[in-house]
Amino acid sequence: MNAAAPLLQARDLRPRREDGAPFEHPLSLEVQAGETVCLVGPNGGGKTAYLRALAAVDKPAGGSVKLLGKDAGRLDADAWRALRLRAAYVLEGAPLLSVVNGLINVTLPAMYHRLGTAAQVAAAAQELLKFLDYPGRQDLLPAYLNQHERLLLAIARCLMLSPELMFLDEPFHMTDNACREREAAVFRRLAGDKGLAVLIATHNLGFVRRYADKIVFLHAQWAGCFDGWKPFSASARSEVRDFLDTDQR
Amino acid sequence: MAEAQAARGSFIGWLGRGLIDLSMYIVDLTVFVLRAFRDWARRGRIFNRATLQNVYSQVIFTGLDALPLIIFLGLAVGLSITSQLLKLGQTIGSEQDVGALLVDIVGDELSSLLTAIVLIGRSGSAIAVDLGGMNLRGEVEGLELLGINVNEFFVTPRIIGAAISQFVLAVFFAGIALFGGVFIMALFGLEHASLHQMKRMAEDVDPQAIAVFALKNILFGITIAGTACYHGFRVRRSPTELPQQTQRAIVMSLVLVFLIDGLLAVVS
Repeated sequence: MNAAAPLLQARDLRPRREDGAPFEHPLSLEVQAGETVCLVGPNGGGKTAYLRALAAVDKPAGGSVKLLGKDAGRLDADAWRALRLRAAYVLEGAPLLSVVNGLINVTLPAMYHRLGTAAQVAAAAQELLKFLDYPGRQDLLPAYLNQHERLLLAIARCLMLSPELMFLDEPFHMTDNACREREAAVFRRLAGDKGLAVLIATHNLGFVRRYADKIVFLHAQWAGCFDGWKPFSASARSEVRDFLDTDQR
Repeated sequence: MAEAQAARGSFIGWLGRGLIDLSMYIVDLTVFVLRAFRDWARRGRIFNRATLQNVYSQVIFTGLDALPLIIFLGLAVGLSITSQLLKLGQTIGSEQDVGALLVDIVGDELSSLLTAIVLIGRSGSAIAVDLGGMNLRGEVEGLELLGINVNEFFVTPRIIGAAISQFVLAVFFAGIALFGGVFIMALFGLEHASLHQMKRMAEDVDPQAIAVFALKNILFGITIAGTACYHGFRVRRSPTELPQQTQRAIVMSLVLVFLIDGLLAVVS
Protein backbone atom coordinates (compact mmCIF):
# COMPACT_ATOMS: atom_id res chain seq x y z
CA MET A 1 0.00 0.00 0.00
CA ASN A 2 1.29 3.42 -0.93
CA ALA A 3 1.34 5.70 2.12
CA ALA A 4 2.24 8.84 0.17
CA ALA A 5 -0.47 11.47 -0.29
CA PRO A 6 -2.32 11.02 -3.57
CA LEU A 7 -1.45 13.46 -6.33
CA LEU A 8 -5.08 13.67 -7.35
CA GLN A 9 -8.24 13.28 -5.30
CA ALA A 10 -11.66 13.70 -6.85
CA ARG A 11 -14.85 13.51 -4.78
CA ASP A 12 -18.26 13.15 -6.40
CA LEU A 13 -16.98 14.96 -9.47
CA ARG A 14 -19.62 15.90 -12.04
CA PRO A 15 -18.26 17.87 -14.99
CA ARG A 16 -20.34 19.91 -17.37
CA ARG A 17 -21.37 18.93 -20.87
CA GLU A 18 -20.72 21.32 -23.73
CA ASP A 19 -24.22 22.75 -23.34
CA GLY A 20 -23.50 23.52 -19.66
CA ALA A 21 -25.69 20.75 -18.21
CA PRO A 22 -23.93 18.54 -15.65
CA PHE A 23 -23.15 14.85 -16.18
CA GLU A 24 -25.39 12.73 -13.98
CA HIS A 25 -22.90 10.30 -12.53
CA PRO A 26 -20.43 11.48 -9.88
CA LEU A 27 -16.89 10.14 -9.97
CA SER A 28 -14.58 9.65 -6.99
CA LEU A 29 -10.96 8.78 -7.66
CA GLU A 30 -7.53 8.86 -6.08
CA VAL A 31 -4.35 8.73 -8.14
CA GLN A 32 -0.85 8.07 -6.79
CA ALA A 33 2.51 8.83 -8.38
CA GLY A 34 3.54 6.23 -10.96
CA GLU A 35 -0.02 5.04 -11.62
CA THR A 36 -1.57 4.75 -15.05
CA VAL A 37 -5.28 5.53 -15.05
CA CYS A 38 -7.38 5.04 -18.16
CA LEU A 39 -10.75 6.67 -18.82
CA VAL A 40 -12.73 4.45 -21.16
CA GLY A 41 -16.27 4.14 -22.43
CA PRO A 42 -18.43 4.67 -25.47
CA ASN A 43 -18.67 8.02 -27.20
CA GLY A 44 -20.87 10.45 -25.31
CA GLY A 45 -19.88 9.02 -21.92
CA GLY A 46 -17.86 12.12 -21.13
CA LYS A 47 -14.24 10.92 -21.20
CA THR A 48 -12.87 14.30 -22.27
CA ALA A 49 -15.17 16.24 -19.93
CA TYR A 50 -14.17 14.11 -16.91
CA LEU A 51 -10.47 14.27 -17.86
CA ARG A 52 -10.60 18.06 -18.16
CA ALA A 53 -12.38 18.37 -14.83
CA LEU A 54 -9.90 16.00 -13.14
CA ALA A 55 -7.03 18.09 -14.54
CA ALA A 56 -8.67 21.30 -13.26
CA VAL A 57 -8.84 22.56 -16.84
CA ASP A 58 -12.61 23.10 -16.63
CA LYS A 59 -14.64 23.98 -13.56
CA PRO A 60 -17.01 21.10 -12.69
CA ALA A 61 -20.73 21.43 -12.05
CA GLY A 62 -20.37 19.56 -8.77
CA GLY A 63 -17.93 17.78 -6.50
CA SER A 64 -14.34 18.65 -5.78
CA VAL A 65 -10.85 18.02 -7.14
CA LYS A 66 -7.68 18.24 -5.11
CA LEU A 67 -4.72 18.35 -7.43
CA LEU A 68 -1.22 18.20 -5.95
CA GLY A 69 -2.70 19.17 -2.59
CA LYS A 70 -4.52 22.20 -3.96
CA ASP A 71 -8.27 22.61 -4.11
CA ALA A 72 -8.86 23.15 -7.82
CA GLY A 73 -12.03 25.10 -7.16
CA ARG A 74 -10.18 27.83 -5.28
CA LEU A 75 -7.34 28.62 -7.63
CA ASP A 76 -6.94 32.14 -8.95
CA ALA A 77 -5.51 32.71 -12.44
CA ASP A 78 -1.87 32.85 -11.28
CA ALA A 79 -2.18 29.75 -9.09
CA TRP A 80 -3.89 27.92 -11.95
CA ARG A 81 -1.02 28.79 -14.31
CA ALA A 82 1.53 27.69 -11.72
CA LEU A 83 -0.34 24.40 -11.33
CA ARG A 84 -0.14 23.77 -15.07
CA LEU A 85 3.62 23.36 -14.81
CA ARG A 86 3.11 20.40 -12.46
CA ALA A 87 -0.04 18.95 -14.03
CA ALA A 88 0.51 18.71 -17.78
CA TYR A 89 -2.35 18.28 -20.21
CA VAL A 90 -2.03 17.14 -23.83
CA LEU A 91 -5.12 17.96 -25.88
CA GLU A 92 -6.62 15.59 -28.44
CA GLY A 93 -4.64 15.83 -31.68
CA ALA A 94 -1.64 17.21 -29.72
CA PRO A 95 -1.79 20.68 -31.27
CA LEU A 96 1.60 22.40 -31.43
CA LEU A 97 2.33 26.03 -32.20
CA SER A 98 2.22 25.99 -36.00
CA VAL A 99 4.49 28.99 -36.62
CA VAL A 100 7.64 27.57 -35.03
CA ASN A 101 9.53 24.35 -35.68
CA GLY A 102 9.43 21.17 -33.61
CA LEU A 103 12.43 21.96 -31.41
CA ILE A 104 11.25 25.48 -30.59
CA ASN A 105 7.87 24.04 -29.69
CA VAL A 106 9.63 21.85 -27.13
CA THR A 107 11.86 24.57 -25.69
CA LEU A 108 9.37 27.44 -25.78
CA PRO A 109 7.46 26.74 -22.51
CA ALA A 110 10.72 26.31 -20.59
CA MET A 111 12.09 29.53 -22.11
CA TYR A 112 8.86 31.34 -21.26
CA HIS A 113 9.01 30.16 -17.66
CA ARG A 114 12.74 30.99 -17.51
CA LEU A 115 13.77 27.51 -16.44
CA GLY A 116 17.34 27.89 -17.66
CA THR A 117 19.63 29.47 -20.18
CA ALA A 118 18.99 28.85 -23.87
CA ALA A 119 21.81 26.27 -23.95
CA GLN A 120 20.52 24.46 -20.86
CA VAL A 121 16.98 24.36 -22.19
CA ALA A 122 18.16 23.12 -25.61
CA ALA A 123 20.26 20.38 -23.97
CA ALA A 124 17.32 19.30 -21.78
CA ALA A 125 15.09 19.19 -24.87
CA GLN A 126 17.54 16.92 -26.73
CA GLU A 127 17.73 14.61 -23.74
CA LEU A 128 13.95 14.36 -23.56
CA LEU A 129 13.58 13.71 -27.27
CA LYS A 130 16.07 10.89 -26.86
CA PHE A 131 14.14 9.53 -23.89
CA LEU A 132 10.98 9.57 -25.99
CA ASP A 133 12.73 7.94 -29.00
CA TYR A 134 11.57 10.82 -31.15
CA PRO A 135 12.07 9.63 -34.73
CA GLY A 136 11.33 12.83 -36.68
CA ARG A 137 13.13 15.98 -37.67
CA GLN A 138 13.23 18.82 -35.15
CA ASP A 139 13.69 21.64 -37.65
CA LEU A 140 10.37 21.18 -39.44
CA LEU A 141 7.15 23.01 -38.77
CA PRO A 142 4.48 20.82 -37.11
CA ALA A 143 2.47 20.77 -40.34
CA TYR A 144 5.24 18.66 -41.94
CA LEU A 145 5.31 16.08 -39.14
CA ASN A 146 3.07 13.06 -38.72
CA GLN A 147 0.66 12.63 -35.80
CA HIS A 148 3.01 10.31 -33.89
CA GLU A 149 5.83 12.86 -34.10
CA ARG A 150 3.56 15.71 -33.08
CA LEU A 151 2.35 13.73 -30.07
CA LEU A 152 5.90 13.03 -28.92
CA LEU A 153 6.82 16.72 -29.28
CA ALA A 154 3.72 17.72 -27.32
CA ILE A 155 4.69 15.30 -24.55
CA ALA A 156 8.29 16.54 -24.63
CA ARG A 157 7.28 20.18 -24.21
CA CYS A 158 5.18 19.19 -21.19
CA LEU A 159 8.06 17.17 -19.72
CA MET A 160 10.34 20.22 -20.05
CA LEU A 161 8.36 21.69 -17.15
CA SER A 162 8.96 18.58 -14.95
CA PRO A 163 5.31 17.78 -14.21
CA GLU A 164 4.14 15.21 -11.66
CA LEU A 165 0.94 14.35 -13.48
CA MET A 166 0.21 14.05 -17.15
CA PHE A 167 -3.28 14.03 -18.65
CA LEU A 168 -3.63 12.88 -22.25
CA ASP A 169 -6.83 13.11 -24.27
CA GLU A 170 -7.04 10.41 -26.95
CA PRO A 171 -3.27 10.19 -27.52
CA PHE A 172 -3.62 7.20 -29.87
CA HIS A 173 -5.77 9.30 -32.16
CA MET A 174 -4.90 8.83 -35.87
CA THR A 175 -1.79 6.70 -35.44
CA ASP A 176 -1.15 3.23 -36.84
CA ASN A 177 -0.56 0.08 -34.78
CA ALA A 178 3.24 0.32 -34.82
CA CYS A 179 3.10 3.91 -33.58
CA ARG A 180 0.54 2.95 -30.96
CA GLU A 181 2.94 0.36 -29.61
CA ARG A 182 5.73 2.94 -29.39
CA GLU A 183 3.38 5.43 -27.74
CA ALA A 184 2.23 2.81 -25.24
CA ALA A 185 5.88 2.14 -24.37
CA VAL A 186 6.42 5.90 -23.86
CA PHE A 187 3.47 6.14 -21.48
CA ARG A 188 4.80 3.15 -19.53
CA ARG A 189 8.18 4.85 -19.22
CA LEU A 190 6.57 8.10 -18.08
CA ALA A 191 4.86 6.27 -15.23
CA GLY A 192 7.64 3.74 -14.55
CA ASP A 193 10.92 5.65 -15.10
CA LYS A 194 9.80 9.19 -14.39
CA GLY A 195 7.24 8.32 -11.72
CA LEU A 196 4.49 10.44 -13.25
CA ALA A 197 0.84 9.76 -12.66
CA VAL A 198 -0.53 9.30 -16.17
CA LEU A 199 -4.26 9.71 -16.89
CA ILE A 200 -5.37 8.81 -20.39
CA ALA A 201 -8.78 9.10 -22.04
CA THR A 202 -8.71 6.46 -24.74
CA HIS A 203 -10.51 3.99 -26.96
CA ASN A 204 -7.39 1.81 -27.15
CA LEU A 205 -8.48 -1.16 -25.03
CA GLY A 206 -5.31 -3.07 -25.93
CA PHE A 207 -3.30 -0.48 -23.99
CA VAL A 208 -5.86 -0.41 -21.17
CA ARG A 209 -5.78 -4.20 -20.84
CA ARG A 210 -1.99 -4.30 -20.55
CA TYR A 211 -1.07 -1.20 -18.61
CA ALA A 212 -3.95 0.40 -16.70
CA ASP A 213 -3.59 0.36 -12.93
CA LYS A 214 -7.04 1.88 -12.63
CA ILE A 215 -9.87 2.06 -15.12
CA VAL A 216 -12.55 4.70 -15.01
CA PHE A 217 -15.54 3.56 -17.02
CA LEU A 218 -17.78 6.37 -18.23
CA HIS A 219 -21.15 5.70 -19.77
CA ALA A 220 -24.22 7.86 -20.27
CA GLN A 221 -26.10 5.62 -17.78
CA TRP A 222 -23.35 4.82 -15.31
CA ALA A 223 -19.80 5.71 -14.21
CA GLY A 224 -17.48 3.58 -12.09
CA CYS A 225 -13.88 2.93 -11.14
CA PHE A 226 -12.01 -0.40 -11.30
CA ASP A 227 -8.59 -1.47 -9.98
CA GLY A 228 -7.24 -2.76 -13.29
CA TRP A 229 -8.41 -4.87 -16.20
CA LYS A 230 -9.34 -8.02 -14.27
CA PRO A 231 -12.15 -6.56 -12.18
CA PHE A 232 -13.21 -4.40 -15.11
CA SER A 233 -13.53 -7.30 -17.53
CA ALA A 234 -15.27 -9.40 -14.85
CA SER A 235 -17.83 -6.68 -14.07
CA ALA A 236 -21.44 -7.75 -14.35
CA ARG A 237 -22.69 -4.23 -15.09
CA SER A 238 -24.67 -4.34 -18.30
CA GLU A 239 -23.08 -1.08 -19.54
CA VAL A 240 -19.58 -2.58 -19.13
CA ARG A 241 -20.59 -5.87 -20.74
CA ASP A 242 -22.17 -4.10 -23.71
CA PHE A 243 -19.12 -1.93 -24.13
CA LEU A 244 -16.67 -4.83 -24.02
CA ASP A 245 -18.84 -7.02 -26.25
CA THR A 246 -19.10 -4.22 -28.81
CA ASP A 247 -15.33 -3.78 -28.75
CA GLN A 248 -14.73 -7.50 -29.29
CA ARG A 249 -17.13 -7.54 -32.23
CA MET B 1 -47.90 61.69 -40.56
CA ALA B 2 -47.91 58.76 -38.18
CA GLU B 3 -45.84 56.77 -40.66
CA ALA B 4 -43.25 59.56 -40.93
CA GLN B 5 -43.08 59.76 -37.13
CA ALA B 6 -42.64 56.01 -36.86
CA ALA B 7 -39.89 56.07 -39.50
CA ARG B 8 -38.14 58.90 -37.66
CA GLY B 9 -38.49 56.99 -34.38
CA SER B 10 -37.11 53.80 -35.83
CA PHE B 11 -34.20 55.68 -37.40
CA ILE B 12 -33.36 57.36 -34.07
CA GLY B 13 -33.73 53.98 -32.37
CA TRP B 14 -31.38 52.39 -34.89
CA LEU B 15 -28.88 55.21 -34.43
CA GLY B 16 -29.13 54.95 -30.65
CA ARG B 17 -28.65 51.19 -30.67
CA GLY B 18 -25.67 51.59 -32.99
CA LEU B 19 -24.08 54.16 -30.70
CA ILE B 20 -24.66 52.02 -27.61
CA ASP B 21 -23.22 48.96 -29.40
CA LEU B 22 -20.17 50.95 -30.50
CA SER B 23 -19.66 52.33 -27.00
CA MET B 24 -19.91 48.86 -25.46
CA TYR B 25 -17.51 47.53 -28.08
CA ILE B 26 -14.97 50.26 -27.29
CA VAL B 27 -15.25 49.55 -23.54
CA ASP B 28 -14.82 45.81 -24.17
CA LEU B 29 -11.83 46.36 -26.45
CA THR B 30 -10.21 48.80 -24.02
CA VAL B 31 -10.57 46.30 -21.17
CA PHE B 32 -9.08 43.58 -23.40
CA VAL B 33 -6.04 45.74 -24.25
CA LEU B 34 -5.57 46.96 -20.66
CA ARG B 35 -5.73 43.37 -19.38
CA ALA B 36 -3.07 42.35 -21.88
CA PHE B 37 -0.78 45.14 -20.68
CA ARG B 38 -1.54 44.34 -17.03
CA ASP B 39 -0.56 40.69 -17.56
CA TRP B 40 2.58 41.79 -19.37
CA ALA B 41 3.57 44.28 -16.65
CA ARG B 42 2.97 41.76 -13.85
CA ARG B 43 5.69 39.41 -15.04
CA GLY B 44 8.47 41.50 -13.49
CA ARG B 45 10.81 41.74 -16.42
CA ILE B 46 9.48 43.64 -19.41
CA PHE B 47 10.12 40.83 -21.87
CA ASN B 48 11.39 37.30 -21.68
CA ARG B 49 13.09 35.50 -24.52
CA ALA B 50 9.91 33.90 -25.79
CA THR B 51 7.79 37.09 -25.87
CA LEU B 52 10.61 39.32 -27.10
CA GLN B 53 10.90 37.08 -30.15
CA ASN B 54 7.22 37.77 -30.84
CA VAL B 55 7.81 41.55 -30.67
CA TYR B 56 10.72 41.25 -33.13
CA SER B 57 8.60 39.14 -35.48
CA GLN B 58 5.76 41.64 -35.34
CA VAL B 59 8.08 44.62 -36.02
CA ILE B 60 9.66 42.75 -38.95
CA PHE B 61 6.31 41.74 -40.44
CA THR B 62 4.38 44.94 -39.74
CA GLY B 63 7.22 47.43 -40.06
CA LEU B 64 10.09 46.25 -42.22
CA ASP B 65 8.06 44.18 -44.67
CA ALA B 66 5.65 47.08 -45.21
CA LEU B 67 8.42 49.61 -45.81
CA PRO B 68 8.62 49.25 -49.63
CA LEU B 69 4.85 49.75 -49.90
CA ILE B 70 5.00 52.77 -47.59
CA ILE B 71 7.85 54.29 -49.63
CA PHE B 72 5.88 53.76 -52.83
CA LEU B 73 2.70 55.26 -51.35
CA GLY B 74 4.67 58.16 -49.86
CA LEU B 75 6.12 58.96 -53.26
CA ALA B 76 2.70 58.64 -54.89
CA VAL B 77 1.16 61.04 -52.35
CA GLY B 78 4.16 63.34 -52.82
CA LEU B 79 3.59 63.35 -56.56
CA SER B 80 -0.15 63.79 -56.43
CA ILE B 81 -1.23 65.66 -53.29
CA THR B 82 1.94 67.55 -52.30
CA SER B 83 2.41 68.77 -55.84
CA GLN B 84 -1.28 69.80 -56.07
CA LEU B 85 -1.02 71.76 -52.84
CA LEU B 86 2.16 73.44 -54.05
CA LYS B 87 0.43 74.47 -57.28
CA LEU B 88 -2.58 75.71 -55.28
CA GLY B 89 -0.22 77.67 -53.03
CA GLN B 90 1.13 79.46 -56.07
CA THR B 91 -2.26 81.00 -56.72
CA ILE B 92 -3.85 81.51 -53.30
CA GLY B 93 -1.23 81.95 -50.63
CA SER B 94 2.20 82.79 -49.47
CA GLU B 95 5.10 80.36 -49.23
CA GLN B 96 4.56 80.16 -45.46
CA ASP B 97 0.87 79.20 -45.85
CA VAL B 98 1.81 76.48 -48.30
CA GLY B 99 4.37 75.06 -45.90
CA ALA B 100 1.94 74.98 -42.97
CA LEU B 101 -0.76 73.45 -45.16
CA LEU B 102 1.58 70.71 -46.37
CA VAL B 103 2.73 69.85 -42.86
CA ASP B 104 -0.84 69.70 -41.53
CA ILE B 105 -2.51 67.85 -44.36
CA VAL B 106 0.20 65.60 -45.76
CA GLY B 107 2.65 65.34 -42.88
CA ASP B 108 0.16 64.91 -40.09
CA GLU B 109 -3.16 63.67 -41.43
CA LEU B 110 -2.53 61.76 -44.64
CA SER B 111 0.65 60.03 -43.56
CA SER B 112 -0.92 58.74 -40.33
CA LEU B 113 -4.19 57.68 -41.92
CA LEU B 114 -2.74 56.04 -45.02
CA THR B 115 -0.12 54.20 -42.97
CA ALA B 116 -2.89 52.99 -40.64
CA ILE B 117 -4.96 51.80 -43.61
CA VAL B 118 -1.96 49.87 -44.97
CA LEU B 119 -1.39 48.32 -41.55
CA ILE B 120 -5.05 47.36 -41.16
CA GLY B 121 -5.01 45.66 -44.57
CA ARG B 122 -1.69 43.91 -44.09
CA SER B 123 -1.13 43.28 -40.40
CA GLY B 124 -4.57 43.67 -38.81
CA SER B 125 -6.08 41.05 -41.08
CA ALA B 126 -3.03 38.79 -40.75
CA ILE B 127 -3.10 38.93 -36.94
CA ALA B 128 -6.83 38.15 -36.83
CA VAL B 129 -6.46 35.20 -39.21
CA ASP B 130 -3.32 33.96 -37.45
CA LEU B 131 -4.78 34.02 -33.94
CA GLY B 132 -8.17 32.81 -35.11
CA GLY B 133 -6.58 29.84 -36.87
CA MET B 134 -4.46 29.04 -33.82
CA ASN B 135 -7.56 29.18 -31.64
CA LEU B 136 -9.44 26.86 -33.99
CA ARG B 137 -6.63 24.30 -34.03
CA GLY B 138 -6.28 24.31 -30.23
CA GLU B 139 -2.79 25.82 -30.34
CA VAL B 140 -3.73 28.68 -28.02
CA GLU B 141 -5.32 26.39 -25.45
CA GLY B 142 -2.33 24.06 -25.76
CA LEU B 143 -0.07 26.91 -24.64
CA GLU B 144 -2.45 28.02 -21.89
CA LEU B 145 -2.29 24.49 -20.52
CA LEU B 146 1.48 24.89 -20.23
CA GLY B 147 0.98 27.84 -17.88
CA ILE B 148 1.64 30.39 -20.60
CA ASN B 149 -0.35 33.59 -20.31
CA VAL B 150 -1.68 34.09 -23.84
CA ASN B 151 -2.25 37.79 -23.27
CA GLU B 152 1.41 38.25 -22.51
CA PHE B 153 2.57 35.81 -25.17
CA PHE B 154 0.32 36.71 -28.11
CA VAL B 155 -1.41 40.03 -27.51
CA THR B 156 1.07 42.45 -25.93
CA PRO B 157 3.97 41.71 -28.32
CA ARG B 158 1.68 42.22 -31.29
CA ILE B 159 0.34 45.50 -29.91
CA ILE B 160 3.81 46.81 -29.07
CA GLY B 161 5.21 45.70 -32.43
CA ALA B 162 2.33 47.29 -34.33
CA ALA B 163 2.54 50.57 -32.35
CA ILE B 164 6.29 50.90 -33.01
CA SER B 165 5.81 50.01 -36.67
CA GLN B 166 2.88 52.40 -37.20
CA PHE B 167 4.86 55.29 -35.70
CA VAL B 168 8.06 54.63 -37.64
CA LEU B 169 6.24 53.96 -40.92
CA ALA B 170 4.17 57.14 -40.55
CA VAL B 171 7.37 59.14 -40.03
CA PHE B 172 8.81 57.57 -43.19
CA PHE B 173 5.60 58.20 -45.07
CA ALA B 174 5.43 61.86 -43.99
CA GLY B 175 9.07 62.48 -44.84
CA ILE B 176 8.86 60.86 -48.27
CA ALA B 177 5.49 62.44 -49.16
CA LEU B 178 6.55 65.94 -48.13
CA PHE B 179 10.16 66.15 -49.12
CA GLY B 180 9.82 63.79 -52.06
CA GLY B 181 6.91 65.83 -53.43
CA VAL B 182 8.67 69.17 -53.02
CA PHE B 183 11.88 67.75 -54.49
CA ILE B 184 10.12 66.36 -57.55
CA MET B 185 8.20 69.60 -58.13
CA ALA B 186 11.44 71.57 -57.71
CA LEU B 187 12.86 69.48 -60.52
CA PHE B 188 9.96 70.65 -62.67
CA GLY B 189 10.73 74.25 -61.68
CA LEU B 190 7.56 75.05 -59.69
CA GLU B 191 7.95 78.41 -57.94
CA HIS B 192 7.10 77.36 -54.36
CA ALA B 193 8.97 74.06 -54.64
CA SER B 194 12.55 74.51 -53.57
CA LEU B 195 15.07 73.46 -50.97
CA HIS B 196 14.05 76.63 -49.18
CA GLN B 197 10.48 75.31 -48.99
CA MET B 198 11.75 72.11 -47.38
CA LYS B 199 13.53 74.17 -44.72
CA ARG B 200 10.37 76.20 -44.13
CA MET B 201 8.30 73.05 -43.72
CA ALA B 202 10.75 71.74 -41.16
CA GLU B 203 10.42 75.03 -39.26
CA ASP B 204 6.62 74.77 -39.32
CA VAL B 205 6.71 71.58 -37.27
CA ASP B 206 6.33 72.51 -33.59
CA PRO B 207 7.02 70.16 -30.65
CA GLN B 208 3.34 69.91 -29.70
CA ALA B 209 2.47 68.78 -33.22
CA ILE B 210 5.22 66.15 -33.01
CA ALA B 211 3.84 64.92 -29.67
CA VAL B 212 0.30 64.69 -31.06
CA PHE B 213 1.62 62.93 -34.17
CA ALA B 214 3.47 60.40 -32.01
CA LEU B 215 0.48 59.87 -29.70
CA LYS B 216 -1.88 59.45 -32.62
CA ASN B 217 0.25 56.89 -34.40
CA ILE B 218 0.95 54.91 -31.26
CA LEU B 219 -2.80 54.86 -30.55
CA PHE B 220 -3.45 53.76 -34.14
CA GLY B 221 -0.97 50.89 -33.76
CA ILE B 222 -2.47 49.81 -30.43
CA THR B 223 -5.98 49.99 -31.90
CA ILE B 224 -5.15 48.03 -35.05
CA ALA B 225 -3.34 45.19 -33.29
CA GLY B 226 -5.66 45.21 -30.27
CA THR B 227 -8.76 44.96 -32.47
CA ALA B 228 -7.19 42.19 -34.57
CA CYS B 229 -6.23 40.16 -31.47
CA TYR B 230 -9.64 40.75 -29.89
CA HIS B 231 -11.44 39.38 -32.95
CA GLY B 232 -8.87 36.61 -33.50
CA PHE B 233 -9.62 35.27 -30.03
CA ARG B 234 -13.35 35.39 -30.72
CA VAL B 235 -12.98 32.57 -33.26
CA ARG B 236 -14.09 29.49 -31.30
CA ARG B 237 -15.20 26.30 -33.00
CA SER B 238 -16.22 26.81 -36.59
CA PRO B 239 -13.90 27.73 -39.47
CA THR B 240 -16.66 29.99 -40.80
CA GLU B 241 -16.03 32.31 -37.85
CA LEU B 242 -12.55 33.05 -39.16
CA PRO B 243 -13.50 35.22 -42.17
CA GLN B 244 -16.37 36.77 -40.19
CA GLN B 245 -14.12 37.90 -37.36
CA THR B 246 -11.35 39.02 -39.74
CA GLN B 247 -13.79 41.18 -41.63
CA ARG B 248 -15.08 42.66 -38.35
CA ALA B 249 -11.52 43.34 -37.21
CA ILE B 250 -10.80 45.27 -40.41
CA VAL B 251 -14.03 47.28 -40.35
CA MET B 252 -13.80 48.12 -36.64
CA SER B 253 -10.13 49.09 -36.95
CA LEU B 254 -11.03 51.53 -39.73
CA VAL B 255 -13.92 52.97 -37.71
CA LEU B 256 -11.79 53.39 -34.59
CA VAL B 257 -8.78 54.84 -36.42
CA PHE B 258 -10.93 57.53 -38.03
CA LEU B 259 -12.70 58.15 -34.72
CA ILE B 260 -9.39 58.62 -32.88
CA ASP B 261 -8.11 60.83 -35.66
CA GLY B 262 -11.20 63.01 -35.47
CA LEU B 263 -11.11 63.24 -31.68
CA LEU B 264 -7.43 64.18 -31.64
CA ALA B 265 -8.01 66.77 -34.37
CA VAL B 266 -10.70 68.35 -32.19
CA VAL B 267 -8.77 68.34 -28.91
CA SER B 268 -5.28 69.18 -30.18
